[in-house]
Amino acid sequence: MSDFDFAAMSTLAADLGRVPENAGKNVRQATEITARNIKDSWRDKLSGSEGLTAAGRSISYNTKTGANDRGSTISIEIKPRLGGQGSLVFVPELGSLATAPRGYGRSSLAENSDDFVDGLTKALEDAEREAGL
Amino acid sequence: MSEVGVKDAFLDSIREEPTLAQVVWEGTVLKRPTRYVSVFSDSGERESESFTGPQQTVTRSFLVHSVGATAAKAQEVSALVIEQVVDRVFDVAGRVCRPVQHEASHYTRLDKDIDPPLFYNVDEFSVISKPSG
Repeated sequence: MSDFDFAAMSTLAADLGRVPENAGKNVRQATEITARNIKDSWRDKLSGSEGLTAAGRSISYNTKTGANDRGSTISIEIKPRLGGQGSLVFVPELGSLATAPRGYGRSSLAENSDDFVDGLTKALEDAEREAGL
Repeated sequence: MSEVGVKDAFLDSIREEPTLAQVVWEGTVLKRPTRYVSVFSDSGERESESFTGPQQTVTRSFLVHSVGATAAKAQEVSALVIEQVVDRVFDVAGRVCRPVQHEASHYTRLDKDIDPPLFYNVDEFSVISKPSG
């Protein structure tokens, strides 16, 4: 049983419950594809920002894998690399006192939430098929 | 009242705090005092509770700038805003609201592009509502 939760505005999260042993590789691949799409979408939006034309190149992602008391975990953080225009990405994202927030990162996340669900569902189906389930 | 009443209820709930009653505005503030609250709201994401049903469940997101002359004062304003709205259940005609969720908080920042420079805290909130009856 998989449980997808998009209640948090800044996080895509999914509790996949019990899945086949061989699912890890597929889940990681599906999650990284979504992360890459979010990164590209965020970059595209920033590339049109006046005065921040190089900021889009600072958007990148880091993958962390680990384990908790419920099993294996994977998390991917998508954010600007600090330094240069990357340090200024918070201005279009959260606004300044003279400019309204545009929320490019958050909207990129929302745009990709359906693909995240589809990708993980397919990853689990493939793993089940490969495991003969 | 339509779903936009949720936004009005959010603003009014912050204004109930006596020290903020006269300094809460929606959008970017042009004539800035040294202590104020600026609220930005989207128009809400519509979802259906079933495949064929109408998209009547709305998640409205709020981004709040809490502003002060020092970092500590900005953080004080932010704490007052959070106290006023988090877990609050708004009474909006025609809508049933879930409690206000605090979605994210960001580092206190100094905006040096304005005169005088001011500090601001950014908090994000969301409210889910659906039609009553």
